[in-house]
Amino acid sequence: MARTMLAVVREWLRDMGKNSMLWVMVLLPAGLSWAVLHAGGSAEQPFSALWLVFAQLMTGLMLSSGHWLEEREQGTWQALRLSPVPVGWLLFAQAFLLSLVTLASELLVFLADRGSAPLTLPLALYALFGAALATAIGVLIGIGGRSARTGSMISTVVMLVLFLGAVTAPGLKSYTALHALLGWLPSVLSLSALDAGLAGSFAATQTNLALGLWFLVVMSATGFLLRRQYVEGR
Amino acid sequence: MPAMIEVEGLLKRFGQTAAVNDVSFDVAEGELFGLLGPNGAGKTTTVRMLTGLVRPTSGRASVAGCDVVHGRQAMLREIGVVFELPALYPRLSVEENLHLARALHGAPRTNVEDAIGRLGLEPYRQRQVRSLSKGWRQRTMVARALVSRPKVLFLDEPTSGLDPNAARLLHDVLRSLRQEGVTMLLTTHDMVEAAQLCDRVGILSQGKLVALDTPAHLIAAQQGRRVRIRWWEGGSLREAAVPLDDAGAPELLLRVLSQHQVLQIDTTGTLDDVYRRLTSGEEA
Repeated sequence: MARTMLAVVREWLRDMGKNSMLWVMVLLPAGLSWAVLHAGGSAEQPFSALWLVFAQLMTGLMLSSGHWLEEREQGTWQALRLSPVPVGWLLFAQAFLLSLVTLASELLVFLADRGSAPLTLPLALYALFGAALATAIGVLIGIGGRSARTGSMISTVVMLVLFLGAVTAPGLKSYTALHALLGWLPSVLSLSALDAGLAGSFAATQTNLALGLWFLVVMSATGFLLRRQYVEGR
Repeated sequence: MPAMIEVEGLLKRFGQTAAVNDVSFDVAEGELFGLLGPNGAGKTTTVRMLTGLVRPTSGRASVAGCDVVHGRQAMLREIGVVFELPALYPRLSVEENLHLARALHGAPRTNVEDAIGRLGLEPYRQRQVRSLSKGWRQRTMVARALVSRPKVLFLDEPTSGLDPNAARLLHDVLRSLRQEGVTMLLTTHDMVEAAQLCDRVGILSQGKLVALDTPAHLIAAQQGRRVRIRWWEGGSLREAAVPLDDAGAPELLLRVLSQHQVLQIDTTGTLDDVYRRLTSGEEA
């Protein structure tokens, strides 16, 4: 099975390499963050983990939801489901590839802004986990969307809500209800974890658990949707 | 000959609607079986159940000896599927698409060369699929389904929208596959295609199987029940298949025979007549 998956992944990589939209989405966060932080020739603003969250959402969520909507629209997802490789493996392999692409986008953001600063283990782990979580949310939207149009609308709204949440939450007073509410958003949790990672430490246990819980919820929802599609035939 | 496809009391409900209702049939090894019916009759749903894409609400089906629900993974090793819409990666070349299918089935690389040769895809092997015409994309889809050397091939309206030459080439490929013992289930709207190609056909109407026999037997049963007549009227060629049990038939025939130049009149039925009679009132 491992050999089969490697051969399949090689063809998928060829397809990704020919996807110009993918390149734009990978490079965009790094380009934007560099332009904003270095505009005017001075880096007055400190590098923020927010740009890494932006890369996770832009590349991970938007790209993976678009990828699955495209797979469904062009019928290749159906063709993949007719292969003897279990659907879970196919889903995992594609999500893993897209997570790596998202991680590459985050790395570019980091390099563009931090140059040769050392990458700590906690930061690398949180960047990878955030990429995987954003990709998993994208997969859920891509598989659950009734049509490409509905799916891209949903992914845009989710992306905006998550990004605006991450922008807004740190500035809110900690005793407000909105702060408590936004604090549970995966993007806000990821931001908090990445901030800790940038400081070279691990985030609070509660943040780690909440991120893990989000991942489980998204994976379970994806599994539920796939099963429903098989049973109901929709 | 053993049955390669066995269907028994297959039922699929979408909410309260039964898209496929208590359908039973067998397809023998090496047989080319046609599933006919108007849009919404349940053809595609039947194919989707038989290929393991959708779980039946009730009933039982097996393909190549594997239960479509409980032996789905084993069954998928034995089948190939060609959809009406090309399910190909548009940015990849023809060859890359075939290699992807080969990898998914764990088939040897030589199968890709065989499929390319068989479908005449050699001049287009390096072309991106998105730059191909519909006919060539459809050929690529058939090649993709053949890469795993399936025992059973499902073809869901494979010639829909193809020009006559492309359709003829596909027919030749299907005939040669039948000679090699590949079992095929073909859904189509084209009655001429079904009559020429299929060993037996089943006609679905509103989810139910309303006829199941060889095209010749179905036509023979129909013979004498209709008069096919072609005549000139107002400078244009007109054609009608008049059911003899229809109350207005004698009047129409009399009018045409007495007032117009009749070119042809016969009582020989066609599969199309059978199809129209059994599915009348449904969306074509």
